[in-house]
Amino acid sequence: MVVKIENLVKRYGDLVALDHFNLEIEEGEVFGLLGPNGSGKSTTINCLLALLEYDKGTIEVFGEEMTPTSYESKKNIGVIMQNVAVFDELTVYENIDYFCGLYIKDKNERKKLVEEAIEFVELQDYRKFRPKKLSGGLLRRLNIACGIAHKPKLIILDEPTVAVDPQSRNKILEGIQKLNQEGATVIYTSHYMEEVEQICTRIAIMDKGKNIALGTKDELKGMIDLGETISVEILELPEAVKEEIAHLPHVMNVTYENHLLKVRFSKGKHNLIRLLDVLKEKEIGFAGVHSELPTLNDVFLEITGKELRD
Amino acid sequence: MQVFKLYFKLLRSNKGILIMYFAIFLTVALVISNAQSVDGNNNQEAMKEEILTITIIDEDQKSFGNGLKEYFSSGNDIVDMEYDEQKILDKLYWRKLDYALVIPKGFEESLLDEDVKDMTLKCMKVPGYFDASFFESELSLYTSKLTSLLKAGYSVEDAQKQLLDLQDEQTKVELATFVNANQNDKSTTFLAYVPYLFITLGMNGIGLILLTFNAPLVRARMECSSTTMKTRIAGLVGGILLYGMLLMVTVIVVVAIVSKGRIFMDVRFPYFLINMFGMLLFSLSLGFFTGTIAKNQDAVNGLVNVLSIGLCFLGGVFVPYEFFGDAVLKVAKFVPTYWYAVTNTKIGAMTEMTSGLANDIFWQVGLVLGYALVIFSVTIVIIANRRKQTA
Repeated sequence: MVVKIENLVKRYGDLVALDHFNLEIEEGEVFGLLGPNGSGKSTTINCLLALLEYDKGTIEVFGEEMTPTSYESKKNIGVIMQNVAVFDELTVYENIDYFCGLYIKDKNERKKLVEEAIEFVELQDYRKFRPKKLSGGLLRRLNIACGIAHKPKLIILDEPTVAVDPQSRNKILEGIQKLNQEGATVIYTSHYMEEVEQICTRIAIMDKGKNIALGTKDELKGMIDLGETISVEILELPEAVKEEIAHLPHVMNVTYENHLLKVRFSKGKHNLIRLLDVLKEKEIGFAGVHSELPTLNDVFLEITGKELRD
Repeated sequence: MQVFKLYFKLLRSNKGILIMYFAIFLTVALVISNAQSVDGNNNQEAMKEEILTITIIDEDQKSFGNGLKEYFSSGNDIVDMEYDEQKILDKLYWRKLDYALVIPKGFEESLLDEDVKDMTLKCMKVPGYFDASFFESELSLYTSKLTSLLKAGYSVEDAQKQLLDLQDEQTKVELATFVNANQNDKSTTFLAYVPYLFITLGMNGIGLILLTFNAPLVRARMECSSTTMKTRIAGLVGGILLYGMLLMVTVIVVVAIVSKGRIFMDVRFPYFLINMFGMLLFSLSLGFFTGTIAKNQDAVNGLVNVLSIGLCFLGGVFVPYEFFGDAVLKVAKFVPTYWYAVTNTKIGAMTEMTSGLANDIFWQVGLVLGYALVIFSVTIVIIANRRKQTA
């Protein structure tokens, strides 16, 4: 077990940021903490890193209780904060070298690791640049390099892709998967469900400081009734036909807005065929037909009654 | 070691502002120490006799005029001129003449005969010119004494002879030196300005670096690392102390150049060092305080300007505290720079160490160290409270 959190409670005055939160993360996982802003993701990470004192509960990392003086455990942890945390006064190389030097004392070993980190985030052409001269995406890559240069066994990434362009985002996500393939356990927090779905092997969905669902993405999607959502472009849909569709087997909900019919089905077979048969029978002309499987947003919606990005 | 090295890397990135304050200090200290200080026994030369150029136009042509010219020819340059108002004004304007005195016809008679209406001497001078006013008061004194002697029965010639004899009896005036000739030497005057250097560079060199170190994100990243807090603090403290030592060495090198190396042989040198060390620790603690409470670079700059100039003016660094009024002096005594300035003056004036002087010096340096300790402790309390709130 790399991380074990039990009954964690953290209060800010009257606000309960973490409410008896539990979590276990195994070695080699890419673990996603998903939840809307204010759900308690960053508080969990800060407690896990012993940056915040908490009111109740226990946190163990690599089998040992995590405290501000757990320097042996900290040796094996790499942290990439939500905001870029580097020195503007130092160059790219100096920044990576400084933060790596907080873990690795041997100069030659450090030099090798810094070079590897620069190569990993593809900042070879920018090693003498100061952070102010880097674009947002490059800055994020520098931020990552500073967190992983010492080759940690556990890497914690707190929303590393906020305000990053799609190209840099893809590079960052690919990098995280590569780090995992090299043996690192990854904890990844985000409110972007697509990212979490893309890279995480297991996901915890958080809301109001609680762990409301936990599992692989398929397990999470399996927790809800929704099977698929079928959208059909129709110029005009009589109310009677809409009613008839609503009474088809497995239909959970029907909407027709802006010439788009949306039908949400619970799990079941032949939903699309049944729907198209009704339209054909009533001689309703239609254009594009799309079928979507449930997303983590659907899971969150069904559990909490609100959208992830509310 | 990482933090220690980082301290100097960050210091290097702020070198512009540090060099600027050093240049200001060096310019002010060197210019003023050269202008104000005097070497050895030159104090006497600082007070020298002024010679005025005077013309006395005697329209009366009696003995009074000759006696007057003879009296004032001692110590002044008496030039002969015809009465031409335009020419006199020109000479006054170009400062070729300091004073023009006209003895009107019948003046002597008016002095001797009470029945004759009093006459006054006519004068031409540059308005507000101090030297001319001085001559005027001398002249007034002369005529007053002469009138008294005439009333006592002296003739004009005898009375003027009496006054001339009196003039020969001079009192030798020597400029008092407070203790000895060292007092205003270049080293003492130069070192008087050291608080400005220490405060500005101490506050900038520590304040700006701590500001960067205390930025919440990098601090959090450092706290997540496996480098212990003790190691990080030791690195930072080491950096600050070495920086302080560099400041001290820089001042010693400049003083050595200013004094042409004589400072190292000077009996006062160790005491100057002790005094500077007290001020250095005060400045470093002020820098520590600034870096802890300031929110950004502008706040550091503002604090540096307000505190350095305020403390240096009020403490008698820029304006000698001898010129302070009683009220200002009372306030100044609450300022550490005042105690530095007082100690520096005492050390500057010393020829040999006495137990009383040693006691004074150590008490006063101790007072400055006390201020340093108070500021350091307050800063530690602020940091501790902040940590509690963050947690």
